[in-house]
Amino acid sequence: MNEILGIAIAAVISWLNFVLIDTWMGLPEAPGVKGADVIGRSVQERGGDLAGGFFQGNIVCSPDASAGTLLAAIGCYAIGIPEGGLIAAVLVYFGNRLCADPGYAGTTGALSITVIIFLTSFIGFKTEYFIIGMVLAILTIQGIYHPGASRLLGKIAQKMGRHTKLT
Amino acid sequence: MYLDFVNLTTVSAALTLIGTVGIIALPKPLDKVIMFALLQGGFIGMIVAAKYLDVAMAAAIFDPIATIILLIGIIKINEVRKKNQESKEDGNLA
Amino acid sequence: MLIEILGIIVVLMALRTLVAQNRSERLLYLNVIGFSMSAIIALYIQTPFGAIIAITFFVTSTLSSNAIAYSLGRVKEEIMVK
Repeated sequence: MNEILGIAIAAVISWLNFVLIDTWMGLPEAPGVKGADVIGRSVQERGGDLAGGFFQGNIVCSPDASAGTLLAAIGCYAIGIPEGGLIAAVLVYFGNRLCADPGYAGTTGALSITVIIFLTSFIGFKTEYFIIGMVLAILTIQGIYHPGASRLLGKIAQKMGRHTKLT
Repeated sequence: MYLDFVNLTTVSAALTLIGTVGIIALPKPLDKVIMFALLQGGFIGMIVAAKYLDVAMAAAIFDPIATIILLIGIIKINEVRKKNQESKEDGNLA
Repeated sequence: MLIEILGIIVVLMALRTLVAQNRSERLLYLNVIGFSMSAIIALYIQTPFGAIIAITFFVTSTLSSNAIAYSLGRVKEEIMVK
C-alpha cells in the first residue's frame, strides 16, 4: 500500500467515522457543557452555522468521537490491535466523566475505529496511517476556515435530522 | 534537506517561544492564559524528547490544574473590580 | 516522515493562534495543537507507556480548554487597570 494513498484513505475513513457517530449522538443539537455554548455563538457571529458551531465547541470541550478515534489509534499502534483500543476506550470514558459530560460518544468512536483498524490491517493499512489521518481530519474541521466547516457540518446535521432548535 | 530540522525537540522549542512571545505581547489576561496553555504543550514536548517519561506524566497531570487555579483567580478579581466600579458609579450618582 | 508533517502542522497552528483576532478562534487552533502534540508523542516513543502518556496529555489538555472556554463565557469583557 503506497504511503500517501494509505494516509489519504485513512483520513477519509476517520473523518466519516467521527462526524457520523458524533452527529448521530446529537452533538450539533445542544452544547454539552457551557464552554461549547461560547464557541458556538462566536462561530455564528462570524458567519457560520449554529449547529456546526456547537459541534466544534463540543469537540474542544469534552472527549467525543474524534478524541476516541485518535486515542484508540494511538493505543492500537503502541499496545496491540484489540487491547490498545479497549484501554483507550476506558480512558476516554474516564475523561468524559471528568468533564461532566453524560454521553457515550467517545467510547463508541473508539470501539468502532478499533474494529476498522483490525479489518483494514489485512489489506495492508498500517496503524500509523490512521493516527496521522485523524489529525488531518481534525485540521480540516477546526484549523482552516471555521464558518465554512460549520456550514458543512450543519448541512450534515440537517440531513440526519439533528439540527439544533436553539437560536 | 530543511525537513531534517523538524523533529520533536525543535517543534517543542518553537511552540515554547511562540507561547512566550504571546504572553508578553498580548494585553488582556485571558489571551495570556491561552498562550500559557500553548507554552505547557511545548514544555511537555521538550520533556518527552529528553525521554524523561515519568516527569512528563507528572507535568501532564499538574499543568492543567495550575491553569484552572489561575482562571479561578482571574474570575474572582474581575468580579471584585466590577463590584468596585458599580459602587463607585452609585457613589457618583448619590 | 510522519513526525515532520505533524511538526509543520503544529508550528502553523501556533502562528495562527498568535495572530488571530477572535478569542474563540484561538481556542479551536489550540485544540488542533493538542491533537497533533499527542500524536507526535505517541509516534516518537513507540512503547505502551508512551501511549499512556499521550492519552493522559490529551485528556488533560481537553479539560484545560474546557476551563478556558467556561471562563470566556463567565468574564465577558475584562476590566483592566490602566
